[in-house]
Amino acid sequence: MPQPIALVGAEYEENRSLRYLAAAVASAGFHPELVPYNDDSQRAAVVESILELDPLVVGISVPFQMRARQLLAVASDLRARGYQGHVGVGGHFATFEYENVLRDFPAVDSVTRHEGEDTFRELCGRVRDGRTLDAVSGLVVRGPSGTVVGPPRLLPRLDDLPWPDRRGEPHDVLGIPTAPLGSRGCYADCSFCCIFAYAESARGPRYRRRSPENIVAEMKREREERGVRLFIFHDDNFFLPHLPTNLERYRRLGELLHREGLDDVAFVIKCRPNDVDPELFRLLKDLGVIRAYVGIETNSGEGIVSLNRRITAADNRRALRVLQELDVYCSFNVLIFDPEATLGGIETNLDFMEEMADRPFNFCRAEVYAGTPLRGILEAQGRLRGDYFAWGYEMREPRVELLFRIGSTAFATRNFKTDGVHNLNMGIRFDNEVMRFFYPDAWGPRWHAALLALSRDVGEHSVRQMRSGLAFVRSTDPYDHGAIKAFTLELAREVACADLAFIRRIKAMRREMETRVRACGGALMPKPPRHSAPPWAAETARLGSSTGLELSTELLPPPVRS
Amino acid sequence: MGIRKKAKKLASGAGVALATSGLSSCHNNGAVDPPPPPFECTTGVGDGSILDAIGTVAGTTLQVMFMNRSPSRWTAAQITAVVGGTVRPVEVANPLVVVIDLTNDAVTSGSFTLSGTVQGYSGSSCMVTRTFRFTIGSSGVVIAREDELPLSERHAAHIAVLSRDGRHLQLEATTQYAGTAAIAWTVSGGDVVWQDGRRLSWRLPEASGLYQAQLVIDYGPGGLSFDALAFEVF
Repeated sequence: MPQPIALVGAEYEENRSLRYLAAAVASAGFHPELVPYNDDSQRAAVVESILELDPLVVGISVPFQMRARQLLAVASDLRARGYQGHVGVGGHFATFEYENVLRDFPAVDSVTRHEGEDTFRELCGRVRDGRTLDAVSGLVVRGPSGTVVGPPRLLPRLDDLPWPDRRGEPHDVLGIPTAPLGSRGCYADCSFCCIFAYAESARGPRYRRRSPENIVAEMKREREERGVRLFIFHDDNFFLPHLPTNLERYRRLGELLHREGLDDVAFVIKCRPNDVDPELFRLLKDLGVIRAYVGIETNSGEGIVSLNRRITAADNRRALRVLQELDVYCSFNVLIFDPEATLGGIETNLDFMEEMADRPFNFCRAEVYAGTPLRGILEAQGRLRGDYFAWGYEMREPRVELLFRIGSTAFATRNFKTDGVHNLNMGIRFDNEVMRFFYPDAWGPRWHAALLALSRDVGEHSVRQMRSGLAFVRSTDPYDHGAIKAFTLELAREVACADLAFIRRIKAMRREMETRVRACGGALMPKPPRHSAPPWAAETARLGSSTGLELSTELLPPPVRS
Repeated sequence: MGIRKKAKKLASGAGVALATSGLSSCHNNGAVDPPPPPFECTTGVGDGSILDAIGTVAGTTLQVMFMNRSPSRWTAAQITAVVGGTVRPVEVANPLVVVIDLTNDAVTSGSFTLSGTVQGYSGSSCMVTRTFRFTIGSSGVVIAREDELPLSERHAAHIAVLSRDGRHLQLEATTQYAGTAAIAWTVSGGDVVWQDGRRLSWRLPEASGLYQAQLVIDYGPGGLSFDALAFEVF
């Protein structure tokens, strides 16, 4: 009887990290069980289901510091309930913060650093066999005189890994089954980026790709066994910084797709602005690319330098124009606040956001992640604040810091909630591209223009409100607490009132889209709510489908029977 | 019509303590809690970082109460360098309260410096000096440390849905802020059945449409946080 291994982590869509681990331990004769844990309200049920399973090893994926406390609390809860098996953690956060984790969380027995397939599989085997865990490559454990850090483990060739465990129904968008795929890493070295820092720390290449043959073989299996037609490439970057190589690779991918009869599939990819080339994207559009997430990040001169973007503002503008000319949908994010941001630079970014407002975007501050150059720079400058669960900093210019505080308070619901208007804007535009590709008769230019107008209205409203904030901080006494609080509250209420109107438009358009898809034979089945979602949240679950969400904070009456 | 015109503003400014008490352990066979760490004259004490201040204004009288977050008590205190009024004689007490007579009712801002001595329970004494600014607005008076930018407390506010029975909702304001905060709710329609501290009982209108609840958690000098949630009635 194979011994069970519990794998705990978020599963808003198929969690490739956990599913690669599941495939790895299954190949060694274990029985992996996935335990989704998407929000803290599920914690008691997660702990209960692990105890019921009584696994040999519990593996908890801790990729981001934002949820680190919640995920690590599962380990503590398990111990409090008497679980005596091995508890290991891994992921980006744990890879860098292993000293702190092992010091502060006695319930955790080990940290698997970097990519975990080989290390975690070996860990499970050693626990089963009662062998020592000291000096295991890629593993950190406690020793009698402190942590014992195993030597680095050579990163595997991606084609050699077993494909991820795909159990369960695939996520779907407008009735189209989807599956995430991907290579690992990115060739660039932006100062804020944990992806680059992760690869550097592993002493491996920054970017490793799967071969087109390996990718297409898995796509074919997914198409045949689960009906998947929409492939979400979660490659941190879909490209190398060399156009001829990219053209060669994706021409080859196209040949293989055609040979296998996969001519009816669509793709989503991510890229840097300097990767966008007309010939390359014409090819990709022919292959089925319907969305490109473009890493704009900043368009200000000082931001490009301080974030180490290694591109120019002209690259940003050219990339979005090329995609517009090719009619490829894109969205982007702008880090308008960074440690060296200036009011002038913020104005430049707002100008760019306004110019490009018919592409959905969001904006925020460059945050500090474990292991990144940004963290090191701020620490060396004595500007790092907080702790390893939530690093922070103040911007050099007080008026910029003030604008950040005003903006992050007033835009909290629009920018930072999973069903905030900026995310809904991106989501419905993506749904539109899915409808356009898979149900072409349901789509039309007038409909498309209405969606562009929605995005433009959302984007321009955000820019307008931020400009009012910019004008305010330029003219006000930055230490006048009363005036600043009053302005912030007024701005927050204006954003919230506008959001209510935007949500009304988005909901109406989403329902119209569903009607159009049904009229074209699309099979839209209301999904049963997951976990603790109340039954009346079903309508919203459909609204959030584009972003992979199954749960929303909105409250709705029972679904109308159609 | 915008939401604010239809809004019903509730209990603005009602102070609600969100902090939970630090409870000692009572199941250790009669052992007592260990003593607190000794009070030391660190930078945070000397520069007044241990202090928060809240104020009320009535006519031209500004009353300021200082909260001392360190394990110490005042043994001497004085207010100097007052801008915008004159200070009445200071009586040393714990908590420390001072009264400033504003120059006239047109004064909306000013500043003063507090200096004095605090003594820890182990006997050590430390000098404290800090300059504060006050601003008087429509929502009351805000007193902050002179060199502190506003909105320093960045805690997300969150509206949690506790229950729903037909169109009747119970909502709760949550935040990880551990201090005292004032909570205010605003709804865009329907009836507020009751509000009790951080909880709101709200009956949505019968008419179909989207309705919104807005939440403001005011941390005083630390700033505020905001959340909004939309609900649909079919």
